[in-house]
Amino acid sequence: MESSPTELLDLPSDALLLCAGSLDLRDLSHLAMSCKRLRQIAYADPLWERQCRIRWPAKQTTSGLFEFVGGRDDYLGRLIACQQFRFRDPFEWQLSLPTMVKQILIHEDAIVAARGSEVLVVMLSSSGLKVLNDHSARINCMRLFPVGGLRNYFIGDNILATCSADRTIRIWGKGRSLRTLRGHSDGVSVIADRLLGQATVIASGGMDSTVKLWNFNGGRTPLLTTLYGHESYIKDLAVAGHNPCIMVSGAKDSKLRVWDTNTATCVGAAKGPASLTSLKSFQSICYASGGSTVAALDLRTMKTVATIDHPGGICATALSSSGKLLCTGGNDRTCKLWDTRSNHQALAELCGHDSPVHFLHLDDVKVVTAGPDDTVVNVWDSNHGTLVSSFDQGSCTTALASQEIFRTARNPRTKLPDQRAQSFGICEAALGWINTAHSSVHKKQYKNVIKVLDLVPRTLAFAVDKSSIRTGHGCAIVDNGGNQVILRSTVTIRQWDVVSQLQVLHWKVDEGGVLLGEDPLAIFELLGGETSHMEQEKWYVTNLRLVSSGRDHGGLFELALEALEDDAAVGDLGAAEISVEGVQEPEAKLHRIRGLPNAKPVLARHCYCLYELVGTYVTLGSSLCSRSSSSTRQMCG
Amino acid sequence: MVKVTLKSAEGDVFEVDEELALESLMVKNMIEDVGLDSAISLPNVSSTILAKVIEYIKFHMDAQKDGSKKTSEEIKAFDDDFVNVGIPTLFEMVLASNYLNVKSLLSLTCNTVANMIKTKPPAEVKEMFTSAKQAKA
Repeated sequence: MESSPTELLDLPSDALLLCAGSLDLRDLSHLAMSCKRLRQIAYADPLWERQCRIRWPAKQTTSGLFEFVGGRDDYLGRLIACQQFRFRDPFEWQLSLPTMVKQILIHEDAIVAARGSEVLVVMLSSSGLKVLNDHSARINCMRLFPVGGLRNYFIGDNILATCSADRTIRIWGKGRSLRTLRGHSDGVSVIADRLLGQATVIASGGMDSTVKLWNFNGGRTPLLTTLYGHESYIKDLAVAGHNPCIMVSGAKDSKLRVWDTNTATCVGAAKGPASLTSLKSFQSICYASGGSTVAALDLRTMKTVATIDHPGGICATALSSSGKLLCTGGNDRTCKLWDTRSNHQALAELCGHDSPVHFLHLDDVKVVTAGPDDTVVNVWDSNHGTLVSSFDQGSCTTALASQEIFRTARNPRTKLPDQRAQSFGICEAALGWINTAHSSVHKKQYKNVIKVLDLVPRTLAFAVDKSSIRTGHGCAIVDNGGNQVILRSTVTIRQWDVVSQLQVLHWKVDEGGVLLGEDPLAIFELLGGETSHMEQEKWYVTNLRLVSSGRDHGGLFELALEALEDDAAVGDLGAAEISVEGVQEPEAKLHRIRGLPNAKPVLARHCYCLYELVGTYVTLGSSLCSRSSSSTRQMCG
Repeated sequence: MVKVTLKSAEGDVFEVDEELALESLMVKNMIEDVGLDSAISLPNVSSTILAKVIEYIKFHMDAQKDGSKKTSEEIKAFDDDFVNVGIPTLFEMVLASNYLNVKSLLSLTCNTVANMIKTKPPAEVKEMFTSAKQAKA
């Protein structure tokens, strides 16, 4: 026997692999960073296959097997793709239909499609299809409303409202029509996008030029009132965000009326853009689009505060739920992203379609676009304006839906360990921006197929409630597979380890500068569980994205970058110059960036993607890690 | 009951039941190859560690026997206590169980090592596993 005590490195590799087999991602990374031999162990394929299985259990059932080109690379690639909303192998689900679908809604696992006078309901989890055919004529509009206190829900705690050319509105509960609202003297063209003030009041607009308010839970006479005033049929209705009793209606003759639904009086009138098509409202601003303009109308003053021109004509308009972004899909085959907060500037032009863009979904993370004469569905990053995914359907899209919701984990294994962790949460304002379930549904015209692409892995790791964390305005990003949450706003970055309840990073940057480690790998290597990052000597990232807003970032970031790989070559990473050559001296690998001098804005709103270091380690403050690993190497040698 | 003679690195001789010895796949193969007549020499395993391994196997064989009154808590308590040793000893046990090919002991010790690695930053991991050697050097 050796005279010196046995140590970890004396163990044979297979025993070490067995040891590492039960480690989680964070510990595995720690192991990888402690010395070279252990890194070899930690990079072994079986361990990463296991991590893949943990993170994407659904993949096994859907595709049967992973393609393990190289375990760790595959894992990282997959993870980064998810983080950047590049959808590598979305879960795909298809339903063939005899006829064409013109409208579609998606809510959690349910898809609701309107086909002529029929409503189709498909549950993705059970693949059950239900056809609701109580309407006798074409369905013009479908809405899902969250309602409390009912016994019979359609999906989740939502009811479905549909309006039809047969002059009725129907309210649907689970599997059947709950109520029929009769009163319009002509076809009903639209239902308002939100509930009005009281919990069960909806508004409808008809071809008979009237707007009617209904209390669908209200006894024998659901019709509350009829609002007269329009001279042409109602094109769209929008409930104001700042006061749910205020509603805007737009008619075919482009006249807009604002109603106080409490008193059933018209409190304002204005002329909208010619050939009005849709109304979207956020707070007290209502965006009326028609022709080639979108007019922003302030409902308090009835003045047009801004106009947006999209030459060639607008086919579709979408407003993000945070109200920050507006997207127009145009006849000119482009989409334009607009910043609603800064004078309605055009942020980006999304070019990628061969035909007019009629279908749009916009949220703060992604834009999904499609056109009726186009076989491609594109997904764009709404921050960068870059195309992240493109799905060629082989036939044309007739309807598109996408959801921006936060789903809680169904898999008990991924639930949070205790109640305390459950109470960790994100304020409601942030919740709207979190986008963990990206599903888009589109319908093939010629094959009559509803296709569902679930654009992120189907498991989410934790549930949050709306209690404890407040963010400023900005953006929130949630890592949906790991244990960490990153909240990003313009001034603060906070990262929390959900399981340990510790805030692992809290970094303030000046207004205008944002540093963002989007990858959960960026977080778990944070040492220990101290509450403030600044006290910690270093942190490790395997994938770092530095993001700056493009203004005044001199001296904002001071980073010491270091590649632990002997042969790492990280050169020319965007605007600032960083180069890490394969140098023997660890000190020589240490490069500092002072500020980001030539940050070139990709978009006016954010200047993005200055650095992307994948698979290298970044040390803040000191080069301790490299030094110690080289000393270990000597020791091993 | 047939006895098997095991010889440790130091030359100490352990006489164990054949049934017990067969738990080690390595010893089992040796027995199949050379038979039971001569002592089986285990030059990679020290006496203390071999004694520990035998203790472990014996306990678990007893626990698995019919009519054993040991509860799973007791077994777990034994396991916990069993691996509650110094880091070098633990590693030697990993080595020994790997060499002797005792699956259950190997997974027990490896899990223990894994638990020691868990939640520790890299520097501490390294320190923990190399400090003994550095102290000597």
